Amino acid sequence: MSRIALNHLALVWGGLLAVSLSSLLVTPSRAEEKIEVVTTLTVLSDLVQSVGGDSVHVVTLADPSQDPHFVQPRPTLMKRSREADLFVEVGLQLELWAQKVIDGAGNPGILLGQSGRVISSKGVPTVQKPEVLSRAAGDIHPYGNPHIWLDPVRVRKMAENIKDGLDRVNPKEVKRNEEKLNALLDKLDTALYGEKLIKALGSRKLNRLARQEKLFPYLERKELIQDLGGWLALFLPLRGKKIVTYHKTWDYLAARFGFEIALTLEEKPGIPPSARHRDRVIQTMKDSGIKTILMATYYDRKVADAVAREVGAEVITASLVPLEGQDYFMFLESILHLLKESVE
Amino acid sequence: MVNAFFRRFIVLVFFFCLHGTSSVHAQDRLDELEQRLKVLQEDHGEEIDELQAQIDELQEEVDGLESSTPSTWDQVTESFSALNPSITIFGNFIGRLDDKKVFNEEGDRIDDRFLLRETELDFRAAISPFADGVVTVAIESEAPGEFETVVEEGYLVLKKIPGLEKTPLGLTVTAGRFRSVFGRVNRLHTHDLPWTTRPPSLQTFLGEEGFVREGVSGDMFLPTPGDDNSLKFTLQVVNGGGLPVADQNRSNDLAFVGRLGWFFDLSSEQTLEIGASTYQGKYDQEGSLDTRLWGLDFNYQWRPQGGGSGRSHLFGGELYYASIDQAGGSPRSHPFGGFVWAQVQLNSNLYLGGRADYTETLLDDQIEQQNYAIYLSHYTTEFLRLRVGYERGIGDIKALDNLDSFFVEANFVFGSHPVHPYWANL
Repeated sequence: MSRIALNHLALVWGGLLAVSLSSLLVTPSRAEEKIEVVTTLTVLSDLVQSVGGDSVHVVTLADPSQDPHFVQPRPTLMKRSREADLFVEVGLQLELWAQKVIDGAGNPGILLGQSGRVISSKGVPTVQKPEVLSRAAGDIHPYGNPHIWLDPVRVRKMAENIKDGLDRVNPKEVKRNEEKLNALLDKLDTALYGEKLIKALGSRKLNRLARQEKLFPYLERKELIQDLGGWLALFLPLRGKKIVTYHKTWDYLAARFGFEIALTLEEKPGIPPSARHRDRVIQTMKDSGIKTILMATYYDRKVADAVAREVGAEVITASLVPLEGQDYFMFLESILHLLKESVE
Repeated sequence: MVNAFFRRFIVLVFFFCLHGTSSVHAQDRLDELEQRLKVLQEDHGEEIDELQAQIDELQEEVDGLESSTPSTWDQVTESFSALNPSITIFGNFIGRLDDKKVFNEEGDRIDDRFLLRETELDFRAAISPFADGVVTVAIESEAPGEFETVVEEGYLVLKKIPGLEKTPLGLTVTAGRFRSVFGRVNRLHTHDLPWTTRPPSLQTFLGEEGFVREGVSGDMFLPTPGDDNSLKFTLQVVNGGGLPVADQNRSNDLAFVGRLGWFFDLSSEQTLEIGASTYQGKYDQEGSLDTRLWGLDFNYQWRPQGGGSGRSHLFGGELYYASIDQAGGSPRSHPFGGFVWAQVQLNSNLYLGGRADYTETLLDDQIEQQNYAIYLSHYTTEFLRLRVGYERGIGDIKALDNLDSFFVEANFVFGSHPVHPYWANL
C-alpha cells in the first residue's frame, strides 16, 4: 500500500474518531436525568408511564394507526433508540422490526440479554400456539397469539416485567416503582371486578380464578354474580355473543369478556380471504345471526364491508393500542363500548 | 263395653303420644345435624376453598413448568439447533423472452430462457452479546444447469466497541465482505430488488451484480436537531478494484467509500431520504491512475394511513458521475448515468411500478443507452412474490438498441423471517 494511501487512511479514521469523541461533548445533557425509555407500542408507553411516573421519559416508536407487525425500521426510529436506557417491546415475534431498529441504533445497553431490554410478554401465558410450525398455516406466531395486552389480567404481568426493567436501570427508584406498580394493579382490579367483589373475595383470588378461566363458574356457584362490578358487570351483555373478526387479533379480549369469535375473515393469519372462504363466513354469519365484524383500523375494510352488506351486519373498527390522549383504561373501555353497542 | 272402649282409647292416646314424641325427637335431631353441618360449612368452607385455590395455584405452577421445561425429545432436538444461526433460503426463478440475442458480461447468451437465477442461503446469529455474524452464500446461474457458488457477503458486526461503555454516536463497525454502501440499490440482494433486473446505469458503474468487496465499515449518527430526521455517515475502507470504474486495479490499493444519508419523517405518512456517496480509488494495475465516483440518491415514500394499510407510493432515483484517469495522458473520461423509478401499491398485495434509466459508457461518454421498465408484483405473503415485467432498450449499443424483453419472476423464501431493507418491500 502506498504511503499516500496510508496517510489518507490515517486521516480519515482519525477524523472519524475525532467526530465520535467530540459528540460526547456536544451531546446535550438529558432533561432532569430522567430514565429514557423507548417502547414499540403506545400501550407499553402507558404502562411504563404508570409504573415509572415522573422518573421516566417515554418515546413510542410505532404510530397507533400502524399495524404493529409491519412498522418500517426507519433511521429516525434507530436514532430515537440510540440514547434509550430501556427498550420495551411485547415480544412473541409481534414486532420483528424492533430488532432491526436496535441493530441500527448502536446502543449496546438495549441489546438482547442486556439490562436495558424488556420483553414484556415474559411469563405471560399465550393461546393458539401452533402445534406444527409451517408457513402452510399462514404467517403464524410460533410462541402463540401475541396480542396479550387486550386482556387486563395478562397486562398485570406485563406491568410487573416493566417494573423489573425499570428497577434494573434505575435501582434508586425501586421502592417508588413498587408503589406505583401496586397502585396500577389495584386500579386494574377495581376496573375489572369492581370494589364489592374485591372486598368479598380479594383481588388475588379473583385474578387466580380469572387466569384459570374459572371466575364465572365460581361466581355462579357461590351466587356472587350480583356482586360483580367494573367492566365485567358493565359488559356482561357481551357474554355468549358471537362476532366475526378480520385477523386473530381480539381473542384475549373475547376470552376475558366471554364473547365468541365464530370465524376470522382471514382464512389463515396474514393471508387475505379467498372468495370461497368469504362465502363460508357469510353463510356462518347468516346461520348464526352474527351482526358484528370487528377489525383493527389499519386493515383494508373492503372485504369486511362487502361481507357486512351481504349479511346486513355492522363493521366496527378499533385501534389495537391506545390513541393519543388515551390511557389503557380508556382504550379498553372504548373498544368494549363499541362492541356492546353493536351486539345489543 | 265402656271399659273396653276406654282402654282402647287410652292405648291409642298412649301410642299417639309415643309416636309424636319420637317424631319430634327425630326432627329435633335432624335440625341439630343440619345446624352442625351449617356451622361446619361456615367454619371450614373458606378453608376448603382456600385449599382448592392452593391446589389450583400449584397446578398453574406445574403447568407453567411443564410448558417451559422441554421434554426429553424436545431437549434432544433442541440441542441440535440451540446455538445454530437463523437460516433463510431464498429462491429466485425467472423466465425471459427477448426479440434479440442478449449476452451477459462474460459473453454468454442469456435471452429466451428459464433460469433458477439465484438460490441464496442466509445465515445469521449472535456471536457474543455485542457482535453478530452474517454469511450469505449465493448459488447463481446464468445458463440453464450451470451454477456458480459465491460468498455474497460474510461479515461481523461489532455493536459495541471494546473498552467503551457506550459507543459514541452509535458507532457500529462491520468487518468482512459486504455490499458497499454506495447509493441505496447497491445494498439490495437480487431477491429484494423492486425490479427483475438491476438498473443498467448501476451495472455500468458498480457492476452487473453490484459492488461487493472485503473491508471494514463504520457507521454512525451525526448530531442533528430534532427527532424527525437523522443523519447517518458511513465510511468504508475496502480492497481496491472489484467494480467497473476501477476494473483494472488490484486489491493492494485500498479504496474508500463514504455515504452521507439524511432521512426525514416529513409527516406520519411521508418520508424522504437523500444521500450522497463517493468512491475514491485507483483505476489501473500499478495504482498510478485515479478513479473517482460520486453518487446522489433520493427516496420519497408516502404511505397513507387512513382506510387500511395496503397503500404506498414510492419515488426514488440515483445518479452516478465518474472521473477516470486515462493512461498515456489521454483526457479523463467523465461518464454520467442514473435512473428514476416510481411505484404504487394498488392493494395489500399488488405493486405497479416503472423505471427509466440512462447511462453513458465508462470510457466513452458519447455512447449512450436508455432503458425503460414497467412491472407488476404480487406479494402473496412476504415469503412469496410473483412478478411480470417488460423492458425496452434504446441507444447507441447495437446489441441493446430496440431490445424488447418480457420477464416473469417467482421469488420464494423459507426459514426464518427474511431480513430486508425497510423501504424495499411492503
